[in-house]
Amino acid sequence: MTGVPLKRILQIDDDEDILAVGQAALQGYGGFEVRTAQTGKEALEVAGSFAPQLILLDWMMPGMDGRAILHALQAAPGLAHVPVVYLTAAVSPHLREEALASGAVEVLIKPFVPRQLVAQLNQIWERCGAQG
Amino acid sequence: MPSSLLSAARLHKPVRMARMQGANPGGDERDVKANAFRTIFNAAIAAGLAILLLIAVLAYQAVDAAITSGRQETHTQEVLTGVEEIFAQSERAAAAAHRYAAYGDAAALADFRALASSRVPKELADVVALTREDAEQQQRLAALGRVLGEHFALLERLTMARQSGAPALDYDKLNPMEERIADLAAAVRAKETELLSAYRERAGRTARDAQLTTFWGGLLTMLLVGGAWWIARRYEHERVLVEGRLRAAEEGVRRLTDSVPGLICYMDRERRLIYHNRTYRDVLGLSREQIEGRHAYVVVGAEVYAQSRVYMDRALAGETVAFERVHVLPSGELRHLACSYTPDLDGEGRVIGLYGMHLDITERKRAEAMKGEFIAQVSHELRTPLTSILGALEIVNDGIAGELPPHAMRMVRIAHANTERLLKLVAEILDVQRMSAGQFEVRCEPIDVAALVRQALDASAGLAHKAGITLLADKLPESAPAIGDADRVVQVVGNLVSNAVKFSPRGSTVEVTMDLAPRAVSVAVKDYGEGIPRAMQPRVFERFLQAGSIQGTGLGLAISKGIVEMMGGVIGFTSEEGRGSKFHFTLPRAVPADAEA
Repeated sequence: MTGVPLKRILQIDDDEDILAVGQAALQGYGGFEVRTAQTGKEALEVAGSFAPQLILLDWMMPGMDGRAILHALQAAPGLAHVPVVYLTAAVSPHLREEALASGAVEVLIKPFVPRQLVAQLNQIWERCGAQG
Repeated sequence: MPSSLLSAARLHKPVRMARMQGANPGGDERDVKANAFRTIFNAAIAAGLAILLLIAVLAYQAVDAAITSGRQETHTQEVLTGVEEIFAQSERAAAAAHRYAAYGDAAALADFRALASSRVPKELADVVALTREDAEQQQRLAALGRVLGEHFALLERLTMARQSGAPALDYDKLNPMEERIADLAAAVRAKETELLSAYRERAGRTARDAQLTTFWGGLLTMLLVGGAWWIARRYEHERVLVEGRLRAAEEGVRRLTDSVPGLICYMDRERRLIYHNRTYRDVLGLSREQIEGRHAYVVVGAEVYAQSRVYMDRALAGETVAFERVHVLPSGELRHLACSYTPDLDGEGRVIGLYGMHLDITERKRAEAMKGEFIAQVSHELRTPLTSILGALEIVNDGIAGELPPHAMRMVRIAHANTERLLKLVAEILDVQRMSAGQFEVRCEPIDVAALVRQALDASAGLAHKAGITLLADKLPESAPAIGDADRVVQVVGNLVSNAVKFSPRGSTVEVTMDLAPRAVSVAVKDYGEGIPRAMQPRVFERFLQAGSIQGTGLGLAISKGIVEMMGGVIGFTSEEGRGSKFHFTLPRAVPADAEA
């Protein structure tokens, strides 16, 4: 499929260190342009100006949790079709089903292997975001 | 409910309870003793009755003999009197005849004629009639009759002589005739007297026999009845003793079971509640009368009965069953109960009831749920920092964050490897928790086991290399479609391979092979290590089992077993001490739609 290559990723996580490692990995291995946000509110602000092609979102967050943020993002103008990928440390047997049902395109499990994360994101992009 | 049912239940109970507690040691011995008692008692009574019967027969015979003897005596007396009378009258007749002959006394003549023609013959006829059965006497009496006839004829001639003045008769003829009459009468009397004494003797003998028999028989009967009475008293004493012991045992069992916080009951084949403890009453909120002797359906209610019925069926078919159920207290509170039904068998192995035990595990369930939540939470909290650590180390390791001196790089690699170990541990603890809580789930998707085995081997390559082990997997099929959870299959193969590597001597090989059966795909991992000691073999798949000083949680095989079984497969091993082990598992095979054709 010849489409737009994945360049801009927004990563949302309440853990600052994970954001730092994630950013380093995505930039270092994938050469992506990465912006981060620690809360839903911040994410909406960043997304507005940054216009991410793909959003990497933590599932379990204090306050506004992953699902609420996902819904808020999808409700925002221009973000409705941006694929959202969950990145979570939670392990629940029905996690995947729940996540996909709430509107995410994929669920990736923490801890991630940085190089594999880049490969996985590229695959997901090929599958569901490249044509947009 | 009919009262007979209740009393039957009560009668049945002490024995049941005593058996339940094992409080009746030597019960069989007592049974044997009781049987012996009963046999001796019955024999004594029977012997006594037989002796009494014998005494009765002998007594009858004695009385009969006495009566016969009495009758004979009367008869003899009559005969004797008759003979006496004949003799006396014949003498009187002779005297009258002589008087007439001497003095011409007309009255004497009339007297003689009356005696000779009527009274004496009549008397004789009476005596003849009395002795009709005695031929000897009859002969004698006939002779007597003849002599009397001749005597009276002579005397008649004497009287005639007086009337006609004819010469007197020869008195010499009369005298021997009188002697002969006296002799014959004496002979008849002697015979009768002899008979009488024989009868008397016989009657006396029979009476003596009866007396002796009655005395000794009575004595023996008294002894027998006394013995029987003594045995009955002993038996009764024993019975009272046993009953007392049973009651004490039952009371002990009751006190013991009442002190147990679990619900205990005993149900007969007809599912009537024969026994229950205080907790049972309390939890059900019923009185003793509302439980005892009643059908389980009535006691526990339709809903609980419906839940438990299938287990009762199985227990009454001879199986020991355990299950859990939720019970609603009369207050509306929910309690979790762990229940078990154990069949009660009689001596011949027939099920005659069941013992029910119900433990309130609500608190345990609550604690388990809390533990589960806690472990899930801790696992999440551990994984978050580990994500940062692992990611950071990976980035440094890969040189993305710039070059490090080789020595520092070695340290980074150590930190990296150990972080992975830590992660695996966290994952395993979570898996075990899920399995024990029954919350462990696997996916069931089409997978290629061959590809997953290769993936697991790739992941284990570093470990094997470090341990100096050669991984041999050159005979794997191209593909092996099956149904399962890809990640979990990799985890199982990884566990088996890393175990094999751990237990192999440096320089040896670990062989991984696969086999495609029509319905299953199997994977085997073989090592040439020390093997598993025989004693440890049955416990290989238990949690936390750890061999020697090998590192690890000891959870890997337990989890692998859980995973394989969840996917509908089987896991097992063969091991020989000193020669190595071979672990293998199967997965249900996916049959492609076009392969059916």
